[in-house]
Amino acid sequence: MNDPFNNLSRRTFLKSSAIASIAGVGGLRQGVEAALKNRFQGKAEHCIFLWLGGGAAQMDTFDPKKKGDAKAKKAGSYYDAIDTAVPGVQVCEHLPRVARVLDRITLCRTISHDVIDEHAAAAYQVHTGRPVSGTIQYPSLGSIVAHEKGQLEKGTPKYVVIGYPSISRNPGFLGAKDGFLYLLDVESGPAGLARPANVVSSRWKRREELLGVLRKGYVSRNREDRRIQDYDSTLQDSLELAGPKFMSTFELTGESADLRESYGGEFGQRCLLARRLVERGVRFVEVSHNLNFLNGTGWDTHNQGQLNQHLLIKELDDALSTLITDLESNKLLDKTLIAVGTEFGRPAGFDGGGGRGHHSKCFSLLLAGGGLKHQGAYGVSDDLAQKSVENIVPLRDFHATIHAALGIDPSKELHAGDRPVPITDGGKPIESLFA
Amino acid sequence: MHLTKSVVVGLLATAVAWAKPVLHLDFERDPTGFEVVGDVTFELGPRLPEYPHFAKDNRAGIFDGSGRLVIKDSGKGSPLDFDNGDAITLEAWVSSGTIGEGDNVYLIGKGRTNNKGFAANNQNYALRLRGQGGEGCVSFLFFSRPEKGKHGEWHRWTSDTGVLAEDGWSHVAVTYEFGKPKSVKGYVDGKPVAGRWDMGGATERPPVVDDDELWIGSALGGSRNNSFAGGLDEVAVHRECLSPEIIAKRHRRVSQPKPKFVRDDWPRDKVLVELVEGFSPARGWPRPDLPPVDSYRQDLLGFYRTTHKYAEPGVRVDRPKTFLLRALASITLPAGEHEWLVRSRWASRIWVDDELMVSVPQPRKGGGAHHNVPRIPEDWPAYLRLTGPGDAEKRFRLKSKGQTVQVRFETLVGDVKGKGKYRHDLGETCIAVSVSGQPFVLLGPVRKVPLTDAGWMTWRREREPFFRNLDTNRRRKAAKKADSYWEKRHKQAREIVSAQVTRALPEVFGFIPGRNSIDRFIGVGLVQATKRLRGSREEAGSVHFRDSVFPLLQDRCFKCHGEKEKGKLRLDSLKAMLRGGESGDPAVVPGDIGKSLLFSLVSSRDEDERMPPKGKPFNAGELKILREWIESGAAWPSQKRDTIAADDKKVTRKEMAEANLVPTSLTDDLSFLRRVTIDLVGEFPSLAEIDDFEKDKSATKRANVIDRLLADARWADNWVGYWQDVLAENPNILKPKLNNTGPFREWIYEAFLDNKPMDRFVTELVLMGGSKHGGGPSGFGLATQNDVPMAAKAHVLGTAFLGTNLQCARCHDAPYHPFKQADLFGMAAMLERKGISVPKTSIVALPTAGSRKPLVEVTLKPGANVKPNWQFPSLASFGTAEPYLRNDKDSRERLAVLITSPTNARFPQVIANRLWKRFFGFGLVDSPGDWHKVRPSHPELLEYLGREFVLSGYDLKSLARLILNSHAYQRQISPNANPQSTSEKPLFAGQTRRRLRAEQIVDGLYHATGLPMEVGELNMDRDGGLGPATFLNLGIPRKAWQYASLSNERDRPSLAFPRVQAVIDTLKQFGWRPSRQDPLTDREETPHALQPGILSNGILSIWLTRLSSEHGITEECLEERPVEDLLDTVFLRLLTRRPTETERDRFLPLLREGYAERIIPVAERNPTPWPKKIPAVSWSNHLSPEANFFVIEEEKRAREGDPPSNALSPAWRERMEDALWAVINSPEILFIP
Repeated sequence: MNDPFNNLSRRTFLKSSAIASIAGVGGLRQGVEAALKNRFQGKAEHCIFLWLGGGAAQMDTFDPKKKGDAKAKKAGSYYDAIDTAVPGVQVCEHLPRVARVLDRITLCRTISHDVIDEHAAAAYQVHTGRPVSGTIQYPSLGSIVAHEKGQLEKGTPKYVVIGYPSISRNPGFLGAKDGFLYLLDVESGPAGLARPANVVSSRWKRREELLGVLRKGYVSRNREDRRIQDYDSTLQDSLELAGPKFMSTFELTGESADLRESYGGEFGQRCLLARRLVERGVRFVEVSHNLNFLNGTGWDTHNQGQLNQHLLIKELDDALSTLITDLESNKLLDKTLIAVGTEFGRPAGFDGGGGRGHHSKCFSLLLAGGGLKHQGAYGVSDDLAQKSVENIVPLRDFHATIHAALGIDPSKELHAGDRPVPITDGGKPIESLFA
Repeated sequence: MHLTKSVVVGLLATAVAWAKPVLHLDFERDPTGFEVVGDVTFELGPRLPEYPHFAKDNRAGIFDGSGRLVIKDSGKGSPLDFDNGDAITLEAWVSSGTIGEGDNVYLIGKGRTNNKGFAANNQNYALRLRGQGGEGCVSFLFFSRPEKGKHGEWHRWTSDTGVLAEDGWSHVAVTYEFGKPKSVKGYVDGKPVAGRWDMGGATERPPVVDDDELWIGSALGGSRNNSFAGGLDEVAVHRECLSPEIIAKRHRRVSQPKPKFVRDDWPRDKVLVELVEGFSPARGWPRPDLPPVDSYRQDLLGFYRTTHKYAEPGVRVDRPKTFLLRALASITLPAGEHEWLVRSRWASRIWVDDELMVSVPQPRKGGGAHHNVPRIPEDWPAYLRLTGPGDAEKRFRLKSKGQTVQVRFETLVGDVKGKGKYRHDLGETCIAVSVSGQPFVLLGPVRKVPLTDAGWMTWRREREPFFRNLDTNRRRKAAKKADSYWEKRHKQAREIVSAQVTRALPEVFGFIPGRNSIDRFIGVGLVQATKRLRGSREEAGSVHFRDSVFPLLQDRCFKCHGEKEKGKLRLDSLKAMLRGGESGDPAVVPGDIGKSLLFSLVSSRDEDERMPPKGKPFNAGELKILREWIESGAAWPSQKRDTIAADDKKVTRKEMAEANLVPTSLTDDLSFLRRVTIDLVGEFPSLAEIDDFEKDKSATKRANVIDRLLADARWADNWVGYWQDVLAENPNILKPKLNNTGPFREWIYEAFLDNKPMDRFVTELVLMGGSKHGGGPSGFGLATQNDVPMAAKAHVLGTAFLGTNLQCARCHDAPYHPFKQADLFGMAAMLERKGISVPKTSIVALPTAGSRKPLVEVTLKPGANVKPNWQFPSLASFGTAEPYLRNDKDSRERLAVLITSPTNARFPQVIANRLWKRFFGFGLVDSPGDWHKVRPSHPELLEYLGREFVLSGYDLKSLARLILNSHAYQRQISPNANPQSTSEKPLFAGQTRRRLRAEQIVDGLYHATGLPMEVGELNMDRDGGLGPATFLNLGIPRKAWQYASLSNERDRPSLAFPRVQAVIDTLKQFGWRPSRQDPLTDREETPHALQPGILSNGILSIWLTRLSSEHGITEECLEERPVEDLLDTVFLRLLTRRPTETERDRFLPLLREGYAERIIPVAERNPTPWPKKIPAVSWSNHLSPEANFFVIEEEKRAREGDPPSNALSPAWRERMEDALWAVINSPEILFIP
């Protein structure tokens, strides 16, 4: 142990600090640690997490390599590579628009974990930063951010998922208050907030008024009952949340046709909604991109899923690049960290059906905006993007970077009952992204 | 030519001269010249008089689908080798079992044995039967020899028709001249059959020739799907093409009058269903007279499940991998020609008057997820229910003369050939008839139900209680076998507990209301509390100490400095505080805040110095309490009980009233009824229940209600969700993940339905017997992806039944408890029935540089082996189990006994406390799963309840009856009577305001609105192509406890269940857990905005407030009655009360408007159109792009909800819906009155 502080026993420490009054050892140490922390104290307020469900192939997207041949079973990329705004960094030919804004992006090309055969377990790992545990349910990235950053404004949810509810998106031991609001369809709004289409506003007024009679009667009959009052006040919050102020966020029709078109299809519209949610003060928005219409399998490109993978990549290109420029033109890019996650990458070789299997030893995730010092790419993989060669980023460091960018101390301990659980298991932010 | 000698293995048994075969087996002699591998026996084969070629005692080889005969090749130039230019005839008599659709079973095959040293595809030639359209078609196969620049290829010729399964003996043959593709000929029963090269095409290429073996009856190393099941005789290989004339003479069959299938007990008015087990499925269908293991009667020939099977001690067990379902019915149809339809999940056959009408082959079960969603034929009638996913359908036409016919239907349920990996789902197996072109109806002797979606679902829904009843009978019969053991144990338990010296019940306090003995104990507590206050009035400052300072220290400090002595410091007495700890300084210097180290540490801003080291720092209020106490001299008044006991001055009512401790009076009748109904059956009282209760004028009306509800089957429903949490029941419908268990929810439900004594309940759980994936307690033993499942189970058992929290011990010794790792692993090893190793994952992350020393210690290193061991002698000593053990070698049974033995007083108290907490909101020990260092609020009461529980024979209902009849339970709620901080003890002067559990909210609202719960089946593998180890079918839920996580981690629309999701979204917001990896007793109850949100706008809310034709309130609206009466009804159904004056004033005018015209006359109602059918998406086809569109369409329909009833005028209906919405959204719904 080289750390001088680690040998300090609690007892001697207490004693010394009790004796040393002002500038004791504790104070000195506090100073050093604070300095360390401050270096990684980002100023982002929000995070948009784009989820490529199924496992996006790194060599077909963000980490292009020499081309292979599916028919001849020759390992390698499926597409050509193109240059980007950052000299020396290339991406796949179907990401031309992302290539133009790559200077606002850092591709983390050396992410790894141990799960390969099970989507759910890998998705859990990338969402929580940890392997599944037999004794604890870890909170998702979104729930931690919701918990740590809190509500920005009354009447605004902290955490919204545009996609399906799942265990990996859950708040785990943090509890339902740090859980998400979710929606599947951009136009109809979130489950539990969007009013049924057939209830016109005059009926809505009538409903609230009738409910008001019942509420008033019940609360006044139980005047001293805190539990009833507490629930009644959340009911009030909920009615406000479902009211026109927040719900207007979901009306994308107010945006210009050019912008909507630039965002592209359903996934792009989801990203546009994410920007609007961030504007409203939502802390964390997860946007799922696995509507597997385009190629059958979504990003899980086994067999024939490979054939039309480029359609998915193009959809991502439109949506991600527009999200970056749109946030930028709204002066939100520095305040909003964009992260792109996927449960694992894929092998450079091809399967019997010309698609790809799973590979988790080395794959790419992406960070953009959020006030970080971006550099196009970080970390180097081998010639087929199967092994990390340089600047390896363990998953916990990726998480630590996200937290640090949002001003959250990644070593802070949360509590599952009595049990202390650090936000990351010793994750260290990627130093060079912090100016 | 290398024909030098024939390998004749048997002698001729027939009258026909065989033309010099090179191989001939007749099975008459004991095996010589070949080797028998696996199950092949020599039994009676084809014989006179039906088969005149054969002698009366002719024998044949009977293969069970796994056996084979192996004939060695004599090497190069062997007569068994065939090359281009050679002619070949392959022939055999066969009596075939069922061949799976698309399966190829080998009769004769040269090569392709998977033998070492040979290429995988070395098929010289083979005669096979290929399952096609329910027949075994004659199929010839070889693999062409790889040549320069040319891969080898399969060449397969298959006949268009073949032999029928179970149709006696047939002769099959094929002739071919290698190199002459057009020379191939096939024969069945001596007649040529048409066919085609259906793989690889015809070729002139030569076959593979090598020295591999020739096998009869199997190939590919004995692969089940390629092995023959049935009889073989006169198997021969010739080195010439036998002429059609010779082959024509091979077959003779003189049809015999078939023995009639006669049953004297042929049912008349009902369908008789029989389940047959105990036959070898590979040999085909069992004899029709094989006696059933179970039978029952029903109205219709519609089958979606069978009865479950139970064994001692009354738990579900799995049926054998295959069983037969046989149904007999007498059917009368009008004269004329009618179309019959048979749908079946498995191979099945139907006879009418003993004439085989049609046999349905088992649908192919393909793996993978890339199949297509079945298309709906263009001309599919709008009314007709789609064929169930994974079901096959066959139709036939039959003329009826108008007389009664006997219908026999048989289906072979389960995996005929494999290892039994499929679930025994029946899909939507049924028989329907279209009489003279009319719509199809499900057929029954008396009843007919339209084969529509509604018709099938109604039939299915009504079957559920029927099956539950049958299951209950069968289960109780199986359980009876264990009864005598338990009766003996309970008798001994009663003797032991009665013999214990027990204190007399406390005296009755005149002015404290009481209904039973419980109230005496509560009364004592209230008197003592009053006396404590009396004492404190005399000693200034001690109220403050008792109410504020002590609880604060207890909460925040005692875990480490009281219960333990961290840093050699204790803070649980003033003396210890003044002494201080390791630092040598006193923790507190009375009157001097600056010198009080305790204060400087708790108020420190330095995270590394601050106390307590973990958790929230003291807030300003808490610091103030501590500062004022130290500054005022740090008085520590005695808290001892004996000072109160010594105070024998009587407490008066006035004095108790001043202390605000007089119990509240009984709650009003309707509130009581609602409270007790929710608490016992998890739903709101129905109108009839309210009416009965209000009409009961007897003095025992409350006790009567309690008795009625305790006898209600919903008691079981109301308990399942609780124990799912406590026992971490965690099944997953899609590929098990971490800590998934089997669905032992079914066992929990049944145990409570049967009111199983709790000691027996625990014993069955610990023994983990019965079905793993089918709902037995064995499912508890499962913990997928967990490297020490039994450690997880030991932790569950400890918290559930012993009040010991061993969670931390999985990785390290517990920091706040006395438990060491060995305690947990010893118990885990008892469950494992042998020593277990501490896994590698049991590690504690090293503290990061610079952080504090961890609070935990590790005493067992990963890899250490721990023997079965019981480490809780204070609860029950190891030897006390001895008298109760049925098998003293079984450590698992010993553990069960140690937990439940009559000498273990902790167990009954833990159960009593759990029950108490459910009924009062506060436990006597408020942390039911963790009793360590907790002083119960009413220790004598707890002992008393535990004792009463044992005396009742561990009967939970009896204990519940005792508690619910107390005044304490039936009191009005008093917000002030509850503890204000966690360290204060409840006194139960009033009832507690409690929230409904998530399940009670959902079940209560469904029940109160009368809406049927129709969300579809919780089953991702709807077409049954996968097994229960990866995909469970949790059935169609009828109550909230039956839901489970939908696990759409893949984020695919095609894997969504929109209707199920709507209910889950609601459950989840109110604390229900979709995944239960670890045990939990108290759910998070903090309200948040998404709770009212989901009730006001969620999809479930849309359904509950839509007056559709199925909705219960629609029915109420259609009744002729005054509008006031209708409003009362709605309030009573939802809130168990009538509206207040204010509410009437607002709601009545709303509903009065248009009330007289609300009902649309029948003639004017718009007809409801049939909704467009959506094909079923299953795991097997969910990756096809259209699967997404279908599910998204379902999602859309779910969000829209059912169409409103066409019987109510829209404007009035909308007003009524708004009123209903308001009532459902009132906070009142969520709280127990």
